[in-house]
Amino acid sequence: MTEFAKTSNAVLIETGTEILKTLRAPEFLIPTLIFPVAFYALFGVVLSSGDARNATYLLATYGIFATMGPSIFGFGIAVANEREHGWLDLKRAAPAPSASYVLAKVMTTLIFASMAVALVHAVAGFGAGVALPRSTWVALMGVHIVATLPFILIGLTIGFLLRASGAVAVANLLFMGLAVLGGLWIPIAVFPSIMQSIAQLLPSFHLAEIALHVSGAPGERDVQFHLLITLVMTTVLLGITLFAWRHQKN
Amino acid sequence: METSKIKLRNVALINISSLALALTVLVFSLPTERSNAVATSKPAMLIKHVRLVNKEGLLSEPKSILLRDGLIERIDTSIDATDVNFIDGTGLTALPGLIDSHTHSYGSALTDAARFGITTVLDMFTDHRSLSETRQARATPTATAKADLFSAGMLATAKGGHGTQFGIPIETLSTPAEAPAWVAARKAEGSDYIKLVYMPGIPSLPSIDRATARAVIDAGHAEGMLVVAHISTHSAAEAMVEDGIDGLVHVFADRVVSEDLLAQIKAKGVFIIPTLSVIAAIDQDNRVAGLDSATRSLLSPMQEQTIDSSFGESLEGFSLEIALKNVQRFFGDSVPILAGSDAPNPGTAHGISLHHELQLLVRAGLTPGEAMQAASITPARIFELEGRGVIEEGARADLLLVEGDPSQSVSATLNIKHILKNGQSVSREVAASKIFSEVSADLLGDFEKSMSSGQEFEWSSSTDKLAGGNSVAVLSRVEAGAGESGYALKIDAEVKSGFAFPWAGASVALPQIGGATPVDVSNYQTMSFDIKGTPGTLRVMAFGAGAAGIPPTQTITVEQEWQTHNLKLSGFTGLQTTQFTGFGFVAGPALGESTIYLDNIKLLK
Repeated sequence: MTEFAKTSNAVLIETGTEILKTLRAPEFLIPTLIFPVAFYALFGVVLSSGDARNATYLLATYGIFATMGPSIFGFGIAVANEREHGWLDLKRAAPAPSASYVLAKVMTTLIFASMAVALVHAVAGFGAGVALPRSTWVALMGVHIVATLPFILIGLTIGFLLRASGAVAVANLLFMGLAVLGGLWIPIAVFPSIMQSIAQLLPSFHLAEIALHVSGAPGERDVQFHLLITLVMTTVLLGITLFAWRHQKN
Repeated sequence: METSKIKLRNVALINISSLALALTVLVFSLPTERSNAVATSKPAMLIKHVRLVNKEGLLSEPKSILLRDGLIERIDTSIDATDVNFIDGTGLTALPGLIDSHTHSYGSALTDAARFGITTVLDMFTDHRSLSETRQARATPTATAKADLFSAGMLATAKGGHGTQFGIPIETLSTPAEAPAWVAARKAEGSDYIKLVYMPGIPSLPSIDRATARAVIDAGHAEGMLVVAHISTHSAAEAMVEDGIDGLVHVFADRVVSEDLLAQIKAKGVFIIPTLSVIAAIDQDNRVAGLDSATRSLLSPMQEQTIDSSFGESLEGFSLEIALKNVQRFFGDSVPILAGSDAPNPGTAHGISLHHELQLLVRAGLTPGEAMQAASITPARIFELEGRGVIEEGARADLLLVEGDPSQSVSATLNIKHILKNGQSVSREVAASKIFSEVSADLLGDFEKSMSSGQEFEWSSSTDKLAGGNSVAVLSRVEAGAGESGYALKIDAEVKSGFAFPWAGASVALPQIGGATPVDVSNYQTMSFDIKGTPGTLRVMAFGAGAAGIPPTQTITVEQEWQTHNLKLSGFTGLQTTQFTGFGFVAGPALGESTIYLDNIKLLK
């Protein structure tokens, strides 16, 4: 077997174990999948009283929100837990490519984030009366799924640097902060201007702006600027993650 | 150990592939058209004792037709219903809403068509940017005064070729290799079928070559779309028929069809939309029987303008006599003939010219019943227009009620008594709110004497309070005009949070009370104004009747000193310049206070 085949085989096997583990722990699965879609149903459907325009706007932002749960919670806390129990050391000593552990986690997170996104889209289309051109549905779903990646990096960093108990607290804080201040729950325009400035520093805000652009939401936005910022932020996060990987605490 | 590894790997693979499949299924089943967005519960309509034109183009015994929710619910010898609107159809004949199979739709095309009983229009080239709206409009049988539009969208032609002269953006073709991507782009834009222009051998008018035309035909068929061709000569028709075209959108009028081409057209099942109306117009023979003064009074300005205009001179190769003879030969040999007017070419007009086309088809030898089929069931069958072109239960409630017997005298199709589109009566009058007079003055505000613009426009503050926000704007007239001007409009705006897209500013618009009557500013190119104030950005919005959602906007930068801005009206993407209602000048969505001075708001030609 080539090195690549070996690694991808190992990644697939580890991904399989991760999926089974996740499915066997519904206390993780259900909240991360149900929470975003329930929130969307509440704000996008019930409270916007059948106004499909509102539901379309919120679909773009809640789709981003949906990917944050699996990435920051699922990922960050699990890694912190496993590291604390010495599982990571064992992994690194095991005769498998060490990248396979991380890659399998990334794959699993993408899978569950995609499920969460799909649920939100399904509720939007079949429950909230959102109608979009086919190409827009495809593009929006693509943006939502790809948006998982920067959040995975945040999750990983938390996992590498913090103890399990600390990870829960920090993950919660980041999760709420990114969601609320990034304008994922309600548009940031309703906030005071100081809070609007904070949003500019958050990847969740820029990702949401990209998603809003793709969904054709009203308002002017400079999508190239948001793409550039997202790219820069993701690169910085990658650097931080690599740093954290090398400086893991036990 | 090995097996469990394989199992685990399979878990991952199965999971990933089933998720990918589920996402694909989901993304392709999500709705693309808003379902019953406006659920109208208009009362049903019962038409009593009316004779129907059936699929054979013949008249039935008097029957009753019940229309409900935009569809024909029931047809029976006698129907009793309460809580419905009645039409007494005694002495009247009901035709299925007519189908014009060759038009170019813009301006008042769709209302003009509907006012003459043409409820479905097959367009053969229009601005593709209008397609998503018309597709949505035709999807549901809700009340409308417009005909439904199906369209080829952009046409396939060469750089500088026929079709490029109208200023509508066209991606031209030069090689066969471009065809598949070109066709795929049309499909994505919402084209219902593909139209190409094949006019070889005219020195002043480039055409795509035959290989490119064939590639477009093949690419269209590969996408499952009908491909039709604009040709003007016998030889061009021969080439296209040989290459597999589905239909010709004109009949050639340069020579009588050869036995060989006739046999090929018949064998290949090619259909023909002769557009005798436009050939008659080119051949200076554009008489519409029945265009009396009463009918003429129903023409909109656009109809009047196009039907009274002329190609100027007869062109060689356009003989109405030859065209009529060709139609006769094709029809006699069972080649499907579809009625199409090619409106609004000179000498034709939307709506009225389809009736003219029926008369010309009768002149070519079709019976009146057969001519009516050419404008109903035949195009519906060929273009797969479900529920159109027939009067039957479950079909669209698109009907034309005329006095007399059009199966005997085809000009009776113009004796229109009632038109029903989606079960609702269509007014035949040119609605004042649909055709607008030109704007009466080009100055919208100089504030020298008062805040009013000296004509129908009114200045007022405009804020998001309309939408439940908290922003405020106060307008005043101040002695600080731009340049020589004495007075200017001062806007004290404060954009506050409270609405998702807050704004505050001023608008100059037609009064909303009593329903604004829009004006036509299509003769103007530019809007101009002087502005100064708190440095920052300001959004200039243009309002039009019938527009929904965020108005088309251009953003400008305000500086402390007076500056003159000239904004192209075409920069307000989507603005219907024939239905203009005003401009807005607003700050936001950035929050904060600002003071803006405005002066000399003008429209420039």
